[in-house]
Amino acid sequence: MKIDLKKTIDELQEYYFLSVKGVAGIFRGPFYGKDLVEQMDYAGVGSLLIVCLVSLFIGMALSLQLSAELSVMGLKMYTGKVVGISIIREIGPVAAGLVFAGRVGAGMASELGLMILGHQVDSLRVFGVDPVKKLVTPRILGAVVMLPALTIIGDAASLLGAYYIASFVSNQSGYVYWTSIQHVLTFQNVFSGIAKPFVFGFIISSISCYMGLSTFGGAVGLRRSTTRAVVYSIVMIIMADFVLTRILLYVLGFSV
Amino acid sequence: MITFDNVTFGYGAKPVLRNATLRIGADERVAILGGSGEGKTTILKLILRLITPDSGRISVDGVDITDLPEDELRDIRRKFSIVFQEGALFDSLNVKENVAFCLREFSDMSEERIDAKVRELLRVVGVEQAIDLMPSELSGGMHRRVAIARSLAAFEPEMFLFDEATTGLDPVNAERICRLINEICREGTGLIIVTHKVIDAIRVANRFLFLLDGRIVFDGDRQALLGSDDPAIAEFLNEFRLDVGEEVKTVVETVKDAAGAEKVKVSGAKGAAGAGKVKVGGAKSAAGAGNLKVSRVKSYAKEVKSKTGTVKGKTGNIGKSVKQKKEKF
Repeated sequence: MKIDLKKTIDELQEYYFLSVKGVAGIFRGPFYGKDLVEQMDYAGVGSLLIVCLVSLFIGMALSLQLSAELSVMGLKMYTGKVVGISIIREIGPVAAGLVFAGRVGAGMASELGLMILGHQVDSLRVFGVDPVKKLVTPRILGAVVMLPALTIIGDAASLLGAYYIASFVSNQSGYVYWTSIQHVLTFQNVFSGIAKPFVFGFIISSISCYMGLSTFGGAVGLRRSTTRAVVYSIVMIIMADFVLTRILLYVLGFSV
Repeated sequence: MITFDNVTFGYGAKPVLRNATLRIGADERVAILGGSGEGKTTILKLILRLITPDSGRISVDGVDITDLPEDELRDIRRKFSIVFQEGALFDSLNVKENVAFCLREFSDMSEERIDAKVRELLRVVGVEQAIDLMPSELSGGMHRRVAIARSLAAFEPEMFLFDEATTGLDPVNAERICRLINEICREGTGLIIVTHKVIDAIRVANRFLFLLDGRIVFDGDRQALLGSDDPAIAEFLNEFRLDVGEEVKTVVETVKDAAGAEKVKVSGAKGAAGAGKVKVGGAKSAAGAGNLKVSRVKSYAKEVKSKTGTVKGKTGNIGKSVKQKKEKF
């Protein structure tokens, strides 16, 4: 695979400027409240069911795996604790982020790409409307607000799924499970799990908006933009997760 | 008003527009003709500085806009009103919201006044009944007309820009759009229309530019265009004659339907595009048979003549052109 370094640097510069301008639009008018509400509805409410469904089954699968492994060692009572820490600190935010990237990221990139190809963005510019403030800022803000909310709800669904397996399949005490979860819900763990989705929301929305607005070349170009938006978002989420985990462990005083 | 000085622009390595130099006055009615990918739309985008030229200078009303920042371009862009190809209506907004977009963004008008203004504009373009429809529910012609209404609502432009305003429309809708363009540009407002349909260009413009390989190879009036010896232009004019031939056919069908007769002989229709005259032979008897007033048939004949009589000097071999097309595909 041949990498065009100059083109890559150009794209990174453009992405940087678009992201900065998109974030700056949160603090400088005009504000597009209706667009923000629309984006929050599309990104948040629209993704609720799929995030819950995915999280529920991830929790169930995780609980199954851990119950099987821990019971061999006679440590089945720790299922709740291990599941809780895994979901709240790590799996919940990443799972919600990946689902969000697949659904909302692809949607943003294809919608903006189609607006570019259909000259709708040009129309905005001719009318004197800043496309970044009108299109990018509400999407970034909507994603940054809604992904943490989705993550919390997804975490709850995961813990419920894990409880069902632990209690009704692995025959563990429900009281012990929920007590373990309660002990896991410390400030450090919750903060660690909530901080990540803010960053993931920004990554997904900014990458998807950039890919959408840089669309060219008709249907093939639109396919390329959408694919790149999802792939780059997913890769960046995984990479950012590692970096954030390292930083948060250090900041919150966990020893490795 | 608009000045291009040696302007070159390309997407990537391939230049789309090469060394274009032109001057267009504020009240001129200009048609930019040429095939697909010849740089027609690029000229409109450059006028609005939606894209930046690779070299050369562009100025509007004496202001050099080549390197002007986005914020300062706003006032320049408001001198124009553009209707993009296929309308470029906002998909997420209905017709009313599309037309009201600029009124809501840039004016303090109350909702009642906006509603009244939107209805008035939609009435002018003849799509008032579509006020609550979404863009996806509109036909191609309605799409363009709503886009024109939206552009009229925006500001008071000094010049209208139309990008392929009639492409993809049937002849009736195309003519309706041209009539609408003529109506809104009646009072000295200039226009630039980008099209590959010569027949529509002739309907609305009186100055014609022809682009070939990104260069302006022709700049002149209608007579000069129709008399041009350039092979590329001649090929375009063949398309035009084909269009006229189709129109003749449509009118003949209309005469037949109106007369109620099984056949109406229209002599001269075959070569109408080039011959410069059309005779509607047998129309009188047809009218008699089908109880159609002769005057009505005459007016149809007059319409045919008005559409075809201006073309002179070319053979306009429609049959040959159709054959070429069949062979091509």
